[in-house]
Amino acid sequence: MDSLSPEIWQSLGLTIELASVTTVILLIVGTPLAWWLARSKSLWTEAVATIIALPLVLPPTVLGFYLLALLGPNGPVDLLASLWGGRTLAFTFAGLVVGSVLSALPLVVEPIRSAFAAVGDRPLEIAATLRASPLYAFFTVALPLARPGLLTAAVLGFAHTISTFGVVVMIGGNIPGRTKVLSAFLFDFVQESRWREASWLAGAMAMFAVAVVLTLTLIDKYSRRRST
Amino acid sequence: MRTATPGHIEIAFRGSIAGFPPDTHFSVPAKGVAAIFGPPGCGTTAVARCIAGLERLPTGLCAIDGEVWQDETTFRPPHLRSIGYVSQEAGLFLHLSVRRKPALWCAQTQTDADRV
Repeated sequence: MDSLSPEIWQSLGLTIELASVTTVILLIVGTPLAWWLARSKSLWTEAVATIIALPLVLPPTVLGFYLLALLGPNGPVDLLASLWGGRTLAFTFAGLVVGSVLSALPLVVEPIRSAFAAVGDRPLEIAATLRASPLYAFFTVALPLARPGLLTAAVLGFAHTISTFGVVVMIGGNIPGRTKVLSAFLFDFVQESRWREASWLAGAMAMFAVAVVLTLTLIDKYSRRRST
Repeated sequence: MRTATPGHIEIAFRGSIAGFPPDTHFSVPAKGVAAIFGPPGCGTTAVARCIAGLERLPTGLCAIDGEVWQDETTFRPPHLRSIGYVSQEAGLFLHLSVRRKPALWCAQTQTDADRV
């Protein structure tokens, strides 16, 4: 394992940090969004749901390209930020977070949305007749009942961020130690024909993926047993 | 036209909720027991839900003992109406313990406990 440079541990740390930060932001942003999508009868929900789902069908490089155009040097966000001395988000950790959040958002919103939809109106109505304000009922009734969906969403968001490649290479620029995540490392190993390192890394990431899918299955099984 | 009267429960609803027409108006004393009954589908549940504030009809008057819960301009949300509501369906919160479910109520009513 001595041929595995310290760079790869740095990259592993970066990848886990990125996935953790992204997951927290995804849950904070995705939960209210999913709540609104599940409960609003507005026609806007269709439009918003379509936009959120786009990263599922777009090639990640396309999403990365638009983010680069938006956040990169001389992009609108860059011009805005330069007004108060800010710097471009492209090729930074923050840029990676933005890209990862957008590309994993559909995977996070959907399980939470369907969990909220499955909770239905009834428990919230009963909470209201017990004098729970809408906000209080949300935290004491809706969120606990939707917990399996939230767990699934968190695991999916975390795992998807670990596995993402196209977006982070486009917006992160693959800078060692700063924006070079594990999946990008693997790509470089292959390009440099370092097959041994590549197979170690690929194997480890495949194992991680198996663990993720197993976790999701267990969450599903556990929540089914609880609800019957 | 009904108006809020102290000592009375004044109800007037017009419209339709999911096919049920709770087209009704009545006045009962705010003391004692009053029952609304009728064949299934005639809208008794719809009336109860309107009084509880779980449904909102655009035109309606609901005044309890002189307190207006709903008229053209006001609509008091269900969690601010002092009612006890038992639904037809099972309404237990299986994720809360026996101790926690009344706590849901207590935590909320502490603020208006002085008022009641």
